[in-house]
Amino acid sequence: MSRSIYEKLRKIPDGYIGMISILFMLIPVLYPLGLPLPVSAPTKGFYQTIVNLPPGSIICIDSGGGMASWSEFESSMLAMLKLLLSKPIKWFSWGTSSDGPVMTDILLKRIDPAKTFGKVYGKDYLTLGYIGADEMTIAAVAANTHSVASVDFFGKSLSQYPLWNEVNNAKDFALIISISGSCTNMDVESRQWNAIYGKKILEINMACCSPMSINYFPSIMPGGLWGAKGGTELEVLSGFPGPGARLTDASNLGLIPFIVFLVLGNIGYIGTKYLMKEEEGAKK
Amino acid sequence: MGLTALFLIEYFAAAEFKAIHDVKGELTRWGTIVSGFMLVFGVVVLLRHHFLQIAVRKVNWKDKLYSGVFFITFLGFLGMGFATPARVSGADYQWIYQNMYRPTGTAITALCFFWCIYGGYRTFTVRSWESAAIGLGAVIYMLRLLPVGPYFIPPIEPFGDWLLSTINVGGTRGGTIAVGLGALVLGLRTLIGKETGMLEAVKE
Amino acid sequence: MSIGEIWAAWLFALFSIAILSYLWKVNIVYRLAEAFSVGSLTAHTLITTYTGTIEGVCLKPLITGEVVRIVPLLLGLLVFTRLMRKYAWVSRYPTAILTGVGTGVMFGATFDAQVLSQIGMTADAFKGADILGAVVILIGMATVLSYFIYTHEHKGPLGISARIGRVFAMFSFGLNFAGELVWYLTLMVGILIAMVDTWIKGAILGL
Repeated sequence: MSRSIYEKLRKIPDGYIGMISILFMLIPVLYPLGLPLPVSAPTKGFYQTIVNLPPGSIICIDSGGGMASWSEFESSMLAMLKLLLSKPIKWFSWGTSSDGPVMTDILLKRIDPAKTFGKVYGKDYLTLGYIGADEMTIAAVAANTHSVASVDFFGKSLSQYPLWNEVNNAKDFALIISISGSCTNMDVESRQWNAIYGKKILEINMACCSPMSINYFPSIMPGGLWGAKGGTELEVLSGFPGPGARLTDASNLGLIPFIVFLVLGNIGYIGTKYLMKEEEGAKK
Repeated sequence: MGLTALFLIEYFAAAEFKAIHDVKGELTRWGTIVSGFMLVFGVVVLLRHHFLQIAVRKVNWKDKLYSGVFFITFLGFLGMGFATPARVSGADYQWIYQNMYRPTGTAITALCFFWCIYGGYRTFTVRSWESAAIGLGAVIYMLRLLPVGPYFIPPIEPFGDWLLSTINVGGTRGGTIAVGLGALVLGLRTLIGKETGMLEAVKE
Repeated sequence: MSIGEIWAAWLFALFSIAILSYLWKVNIVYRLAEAFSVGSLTAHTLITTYTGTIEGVCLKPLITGEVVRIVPLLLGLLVFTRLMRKYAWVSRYPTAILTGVGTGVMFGATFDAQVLSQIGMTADAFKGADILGAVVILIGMATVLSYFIYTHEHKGPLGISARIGRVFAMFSFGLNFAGELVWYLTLMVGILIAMVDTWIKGAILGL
């Protein structure tokens, strides 16, 4: 083959790659493939840890996702909330990002815990607003939970809620669930919850953070959900269908063009390099 | 310096020394409150910048228009947020937030998909062991993450999981320990008063 | 679909298309949508920070009798002296408090959480069935750590070890890159699903 073909393979215009990728994304959106998704060990760990909690356990959830990544968090958070509400356990959540409590509230309104699961707000679950400063606030919540907030997400005084009177510090929490958009989240959580109080942490994060968070699996982090795929796996395990299945299925073909172009680019690189060597050898 | 020393003593102090634990708790709350004010300060600086764009600086009319749109949006959302006692928990606010902020934020982040694939196509060539490692790792894990990978190439599932839990853990664990040691050095420097970067940023 | 849902579908589609028009080239529609995004996020952050942090942790406890909260309130207000050139030095005090507390909070637990426990988990891996995996983890961890030794030139055995560590680190970055691509892809597909299902099929075609 001539050198020009290899060089063309190395210099495919960006626009072609982008357009073909969008076309491949659209195919499963219009015609769902329905491929099965194997459930990974961290998701099984996430599910089993919650299911094995004794009745009456209290979970502390720090909700820190971003609205811009709604598609990544929606399925995981929805499946987690449904699972928690279906069990005889209690939980309260507070925000480590400005979007986290809003996202939790939107999903709870969609679930309608009172109607669907018979849960009472203030007795079985509680939602607080955004309390800034990340690690400092986690330290404050763990040491003395009552000191970091006086009102809930809706602006009402917390002292009226029975659940708020049951939580005082980290000793009252059976488990921590951390929802975050930061890949170094587990470093922070393990410092404040596990190193000091020995608490186990479950994580919900974006797909890109699994390679960094997996460091803590399974000793400190018995389970984790990363991206829409994690949410889909939990939907399958817990038996609560949600938006994850459609989203994960529709993502199936989107990366195939990139992989193909990557291979073509490498063929172009190797071919160019091989031909250059031949030309240099011929000159000598 | 003193605060760092106090927190270090508190970390090792037994639970019986309630006074030191209470002081630490109160100081962490102070840190939370001060950081909230710093965030508000950041907003004030941003507002000042856009105000100067409109009123003072000699810039293109388009730049003034963009700053104007920023101000109108900011005031609109602020008004909606504080108008009712429900604030951000109100249905109207959440409707606007979901249907106007969410698509812009999501689309801005989604644009990165295209930059990543353009860059990856150029960078992940087998010109060295390192670039081959990054390209190979990316392709294998991509196929593992999407259902199409395990469906058409069944061994990709256990192999991808093994790569994630061994080679990747080896790499990131070393990085985590290095970052931890670096953080300890930074803490020690703060403890002995040598780390003054943030304070020197404030010019008199 | 109700009128509200139709409006929601149109707004979603228009804002998404405005931002995605950047793929064609930077244009006024994109810049306006970007300004809108920044304005809305700034306002939202201000509202939530004021409500949750300043009001919830400082003002309301202060009103109900926790007088000690007046100190962080004053410290917080001192932050704004940075805007005045003559008194900017005063803002060093709240910055110093924040730096001290932030460092202190993470300092004590860092060695335990990020160093000792990581080494412990590496040792625990040898208790499992996958000994090959445990050996790979140990080699990876040791070689990556050797890469971060900056006090000796990377020559001889250290050079070989650092090179191997770099390859391990690059492998991890590759996995991270794959995760990032899947993240962005999920967002893109989410936009496409919303546009196809609610906008085109719902609002336009009325299906």
